Amino acid sequence: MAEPLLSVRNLVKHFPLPHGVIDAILRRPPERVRAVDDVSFTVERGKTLGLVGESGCGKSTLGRCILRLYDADAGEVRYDGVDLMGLDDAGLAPYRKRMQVVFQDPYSSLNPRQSVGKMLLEVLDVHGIGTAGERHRRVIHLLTQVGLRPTDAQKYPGEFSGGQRQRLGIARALAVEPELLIADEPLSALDVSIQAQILQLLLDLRASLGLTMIFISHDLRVVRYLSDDVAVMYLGKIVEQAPTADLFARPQHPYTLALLSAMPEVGGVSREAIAVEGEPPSAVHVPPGCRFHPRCPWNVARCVEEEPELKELLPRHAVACHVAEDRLA
Amino acid sequence: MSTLVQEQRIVADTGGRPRLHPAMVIGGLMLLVIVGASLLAPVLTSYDPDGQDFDQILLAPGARHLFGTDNFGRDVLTRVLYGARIDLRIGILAVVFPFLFGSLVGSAAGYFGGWVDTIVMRTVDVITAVPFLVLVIAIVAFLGPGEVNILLAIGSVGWVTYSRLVRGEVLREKNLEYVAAARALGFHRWRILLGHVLPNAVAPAIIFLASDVVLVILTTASLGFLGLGVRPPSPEWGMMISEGREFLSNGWWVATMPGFACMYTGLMFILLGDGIADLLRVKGQ
Amino acid sequence: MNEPILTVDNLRVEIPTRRGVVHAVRGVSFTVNRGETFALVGESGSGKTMTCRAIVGLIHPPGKIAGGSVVFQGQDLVRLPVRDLERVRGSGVVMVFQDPMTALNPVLTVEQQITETLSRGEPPLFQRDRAIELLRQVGIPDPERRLGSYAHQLSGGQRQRVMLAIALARQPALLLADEPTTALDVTIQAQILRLMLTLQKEFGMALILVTHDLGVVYQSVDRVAVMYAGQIVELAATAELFARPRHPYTIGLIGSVPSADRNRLLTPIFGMPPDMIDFGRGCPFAPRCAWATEECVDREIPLAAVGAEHWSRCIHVDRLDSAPPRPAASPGGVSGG
Repeated sequence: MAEPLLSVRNLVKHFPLPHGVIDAILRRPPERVRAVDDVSFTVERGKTLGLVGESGCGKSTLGRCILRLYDADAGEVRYDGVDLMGLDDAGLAPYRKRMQVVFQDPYSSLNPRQSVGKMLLEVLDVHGIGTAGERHRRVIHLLTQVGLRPTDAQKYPGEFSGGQRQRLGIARALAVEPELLIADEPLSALDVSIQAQILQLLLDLRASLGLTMIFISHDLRVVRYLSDDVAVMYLGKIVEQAPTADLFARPQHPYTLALLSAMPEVGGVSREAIAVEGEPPSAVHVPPGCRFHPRCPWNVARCVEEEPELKELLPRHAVACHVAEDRLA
Repeated sequence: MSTLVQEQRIVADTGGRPRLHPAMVIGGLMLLVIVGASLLAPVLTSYDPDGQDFDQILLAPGARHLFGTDNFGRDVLTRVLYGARIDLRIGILAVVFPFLFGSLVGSAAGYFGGWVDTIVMRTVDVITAVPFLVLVIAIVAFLGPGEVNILLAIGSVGWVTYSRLVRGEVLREKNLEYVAAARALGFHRWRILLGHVLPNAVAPAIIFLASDVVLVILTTASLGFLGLGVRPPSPEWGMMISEGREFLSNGWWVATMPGFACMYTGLMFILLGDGIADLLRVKGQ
Repeated sequence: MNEPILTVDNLRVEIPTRRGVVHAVRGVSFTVNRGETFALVGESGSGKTMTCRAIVGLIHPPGKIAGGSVVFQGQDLVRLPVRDLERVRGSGVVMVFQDPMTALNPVLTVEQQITETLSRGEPPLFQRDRAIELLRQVGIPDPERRLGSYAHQLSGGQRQRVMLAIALARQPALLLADEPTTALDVTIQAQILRLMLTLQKEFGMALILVTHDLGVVYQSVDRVAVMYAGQIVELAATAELFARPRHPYTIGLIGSVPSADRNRLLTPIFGMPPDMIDFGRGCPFAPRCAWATEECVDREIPLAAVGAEHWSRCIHVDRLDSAPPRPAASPGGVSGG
C-alpha cells in the first residue's frame, strides 16, 4: 500500500494568552487557547479530505500548521515521508512548491497594489519556473485555466468580483504546480450561485491536475459533494472520521449528528433532530473529560471523567465517544 | 498562436494612464512657480538680498519695491525669493530623510516584532516623551545654529512619526491573507516586507509628508525667532517674520510678506499631498 | 388563515450614487398573510434587503422609495408621517438584522434595551418582569442575571436571542428577519431558526425571512418569492416551487446547491449578476440564461400566473422541463463570476 502523501501525527498548537505582571502577582496561571490538541490523520495521494467544524474548532489553525505558516508546538507533519516540522526555511523551500493554499476572504487574499499579471509572474520568478520567455505564456494559461481572460492580467484585484478573485487565488496556488491543495473555506464568502461555480472549478481542476486536497469548511453539504473522507472537528480534536458515504449514512458521534440535523436540505430526508443546546465553550477553558459533554444529550458519568480516544469502531470509521463505543461493542 | 511579444504585452502592460487630479495640477503649478521664481531670482530682481540702503528704509509696497523694504532698506520681494531657496531646501530635506528612515524602521518593527519592535518603539517612546520643539531647540543649541545643524536636529527627531504611522499600517497588513499566501509560496521575508507590505502601508506616511514640510518650515521659523536659526543676514522666512515683528504697525509688509510666502507654500504642499494620495490609489480601490 | 396583513404593491427603491441611480427594487409586489412564514430568496444585489428596509421605513437618504405602496393593517406605511410610522414600528412591524455583533447598543444593558421598547406600551412597574419573561421565552438561561449584561458579554447566539426578545416585546403582527443566522455557527443557526418559528406560532406572527439558504426555505417556509436584480422572478408555495420551478434562475439556484444525492451533479449558473445601474432591456437574467431568446430582451416581462398561486417572470415556462437549447457555458468559462 502506497505511503500516504500527508501524514499528521499528534499535532498540537496552543496560543498563549497575554500574561502580564499583574497576572503573575496574582498567581494566575498562564492561559492558552488550545486550538489544535493532539490531532492525527492521513491523506492519500489523489484523495480529498474534508475537514469540518464550526468556528473555533481549530480546522483553519490545523491547515496553517500543515503549511508551516504556524509552527506547531508538538507532533509531526510528514509530507511524502519527510517530517516538515524539523525543516528550516531552506529545507522547506521545495515543499512550498508541492503544497499550496487557497484562502477564504477574496477581499484580503490578493495584494491590492499588484496587478494580476505581475502577481503570477512573481510566483513563477521566485520559484524559477520556466524561462523568462515562457513565463508570460504560463500566466495566460493559468488565467484561462481558472476561467478568466488573458487580458485580465493587466487589471488590479480591485477590479474583480469576489468570485473572480477566488479564481485568481486558485490560479496563484496552481502556478507552482502543487500536488496538495489546502482550501481553507474558499466558498464561505461567496454568493450561492458563485459558490457553485467555484466548487465546480475546483472539481474540474482536481480531476485534470490529479490534485490531492484538504477541504476545510463548516458546510457539510459542500464537503459531502467533494470529499472522499471526512473528519469532524470539535474544540481542537477530531471527534469522528470516516469515508464520506459512511459518515453520512451512519454518523456515530453526537456532534456529527447535531451538525447534520442542523443543516436543512432541499428534498432531504428530515433527520431526527439532535438538539444541541448551549454555546461552544472557549478553547481556553476546555471542559474536563469529553469536550462535548456539556452540550451532549447522551452525557453519562464516564464522559466527565475520561476523555474518549478516537478509535476505529467500524471499518475505517473512527469515533471518539464513550457512548458510541459501548453501543457498537 | 500568439507571439512572445504579444504575450508579454498582454500580461505586463497595465496601461497606466495617470489621472491628473486637480489638486495635483494646481499644486504642481504652484511648485513650478515658486521653484522657478526662486531659481530665477537674480534675473527677476536687480536688488541684492543683503543690500542695505538706509535711504530706502520701510518703504510701503510700490512700483519700485513690490513688497516694500525692511528696516535696513533691503527689498522684501528679493529677500522672499532668495529665502524660498532656503526654506524649500530645508523643508524638503528635513522630511525626506526622516520619511525614508522612519518608514523602513517602522515597517521592520511592525513586521518582525520581537526585540526589533521593542528597541525601535522604546526609542520612539523616549523621543516622543519630549515635546518636539523643545528637543529640536536643545539639539540646535548644543550643535550651534546654522542650516546643517537644523537639518540634523529636525531629522533626528522627526522620523518617529513616520515610523509610528508605518508600523501601525504594517501591523494591520501583515495579518491579511495575501501576506499568508506569499509566505506559503515561500517568498523571502524581505521580499514580502518591502515588495508587498510596505507599499500598502506607506500611504498615510506619504500623505503626512506633505504637511510635515509645512511643520518643518514653521519649526525653522521658530528657531530663527529664538536666535537659533539660519544665521542672519540670510533671508530665511522665519527670521524675516521674527525680525519684522517690531514693525507691524508702521511696516506691516516686512513680516507679512514672508508670512504669505509660508501660507503659499503650506497650501501648495497640502494640495500636492492630496494629489499624491490620489495618485497612490490603485485601480479598484 | 388567508387574511393578508401586508400588501406590497409595485414597490420601487432608488439610490442615487456617483455613477448613476441604482435601481435596487424595481416594482416588487407580494402579500403576506396573518401567521404565515414568507421567504424572500436571492443573492447579493437582488434587492431583498432593500425591500425589507423599505417596508419598515429604514431607507436612508440619498436612497428613497420611488414608488409603490406598503399597506400594513390598512395603512400605507410609505405615505405615513414619521411619527405615525414610529408607532407602527416596534408594535406592529419589527425587524431583526443580520449581524448580531453590531445590532445591540454597546453601552446599554440588556434590560435597558428591552425596557426602552416596552416603555411606550407598558406601565413601568411591570417592565422588569416582562423583560425577564421575554428573555426566558427566547431561551436565555438565567434571565435575571442576564438583565444586567452588556452586549459584549454575550455570544453571537445570545445577542441574536436578545434581539428577538426586543423585537417581540410588544407582540408585533409581523416580523422581518434579514438573514438572521448567517453570521452564526451552524448549530446555533439551527437553534435560532427553531426559536423564531416556535415564537412565531406562539405569538401568531407573520414572518418574512430574507435568506439565501434554500434548505431553510424548503423546510420551514410556507411561501417563497425568488428575487433577482430588484424584481421578483418567481412566487409560489414552497412545495410547489421546489417541485416545479418555473424560472431559469430558480432552477439554477436549486441546481447550485449540492444535494444529498451525490450522483446529481451541480449545475452552476454561469456569469455574474447585472449592474444595478444599467440593466439593459428585458429580462435581467437573460445573459446568464440557457433558454434565453431574442424575445427575452425585447421588452419588459411581467410577472404572470403559471399555475395555481404560482407566478413567474419567464416567457418560456413551457420549455423549462426539457433540456436547455444551448448548453450553459462551462462555469469556468470566460466572464465567469
